[in-house]
Amino acid sequence: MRYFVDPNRVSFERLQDEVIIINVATGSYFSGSGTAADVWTLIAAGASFDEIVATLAAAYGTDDAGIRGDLEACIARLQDHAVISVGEPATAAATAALPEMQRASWSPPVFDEYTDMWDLLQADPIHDVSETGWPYVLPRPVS
Amino acid sequence: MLVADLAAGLKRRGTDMAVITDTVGDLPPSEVIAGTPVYRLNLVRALRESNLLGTLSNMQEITRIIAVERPDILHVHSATQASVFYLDRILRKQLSSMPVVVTQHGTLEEKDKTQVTHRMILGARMLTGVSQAALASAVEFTGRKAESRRIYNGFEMPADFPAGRIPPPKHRLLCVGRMQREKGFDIAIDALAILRKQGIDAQLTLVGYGEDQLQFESQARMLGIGEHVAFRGALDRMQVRHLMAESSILLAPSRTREGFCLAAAEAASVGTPCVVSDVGGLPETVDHEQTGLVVPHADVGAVAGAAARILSDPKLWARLSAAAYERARAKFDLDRCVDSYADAYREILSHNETKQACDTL
Repeated sequence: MRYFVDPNRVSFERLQDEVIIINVATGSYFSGSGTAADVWTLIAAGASFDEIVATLAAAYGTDDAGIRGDLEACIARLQDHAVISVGEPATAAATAALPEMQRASWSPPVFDEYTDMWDLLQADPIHDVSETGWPYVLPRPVS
Repeated sequence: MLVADLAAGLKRRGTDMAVITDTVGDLPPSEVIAGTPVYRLNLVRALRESNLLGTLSNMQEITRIIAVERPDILHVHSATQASVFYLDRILRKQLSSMPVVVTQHGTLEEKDKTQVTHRMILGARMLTGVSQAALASAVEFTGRKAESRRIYNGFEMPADFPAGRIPPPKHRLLCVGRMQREKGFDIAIDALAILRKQGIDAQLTLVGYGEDQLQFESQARMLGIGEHVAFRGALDRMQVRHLMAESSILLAPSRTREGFCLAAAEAASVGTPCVVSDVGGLPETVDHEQTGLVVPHADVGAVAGAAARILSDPKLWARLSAAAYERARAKFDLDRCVDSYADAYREILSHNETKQACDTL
């Protein structure tokens, strides 16, 4: 079983051990680190469920059994949020690989959800700066 | 401005602060201002543009700065801003034990009640509000039971404005703030029109700029009072204070979101009575009938009526002016504000030390 990440709906980026995924259609952000970033990297590379389990087991030096259950739960949540669906990947690497880096021991992958980011962005005040260079919220004096 | 004043005041008390904030104009990405390191990152822009690599880079950079500065406490000024996303990520990822102080600067409205804001307020070691209203709205939103306290904003009391002012010879009304409908400056213009119709020869000066200025200018012209409304744009702090000291009344007829009205507090500190609306923390900056008048929000007639009452009664004006001067200097002095934050930090650190000692036993 492989997973489809719709490039028209979902954009994502990984930097070191942190990944951010946006469901552009809903404006929801999902962010995860460590094992979550690795899971996403493998899903996005077009790896099958079994390939993901095997790659993670090798990377974290643990057995398949524990990883399998954690992965199922994580993938189910991503499906619930319409970030991925079961299907042929848009792009599939010949072999899905993880970036070389130091890893802690395996822990269940968690994507934190930010489903109201647009609201948060609306709430942000407009800033300006005074002659001394300090940023402040317009107008002066600030309330 | 509060953070700048706070940093200077805390430094004098032996507490150093580093500031991470948004990029502004052409200012450098980092500099030291009055001994305080200031780091500027494209925090909100990266999020607004859905620039994921930029967002992740910002998280890395904030993590690096925290590692360099090694703060004992993280102080978040307002949990209702997009930048708290970064802090939420970093705290959840690796700094879950770092004590966080959240200062809520505005009263929360429905649109402000986001997941990150909720988590940040609820998870803070200490929550402070710049007014009881700002604090109460944050507590009500989260159901927070842990330590919270009100700390009014403070500012350096202007030394060159003595007490005992007499009413200005001309009726001058003043509004200071961002030119937006939320601030109710359109209400002030309508109120001026009413006053002039009643034969009160008043002028209105608006200080600040913002998205609705053209609309306000047009409103004044359409009401036939364009020549009696002056738009002064943004002025520096001393210019604003001098204008305040030359004015009869400061009007703050805001409709929403006011956590604390620094303009009203500063006007009071130079002996200018205020007419403010009854939203958020505004009624806390004015002691109704003692230092100014509090009126129902979005009520033009009430603003005009309150202004007319003060303008037509020099004895009332003088009484309100004198009391406003005294109260502002007692309640909103910068030292009092800085001391309150210094106490809060000290209590948190002392609690941490006690907890660490217990943990090692």
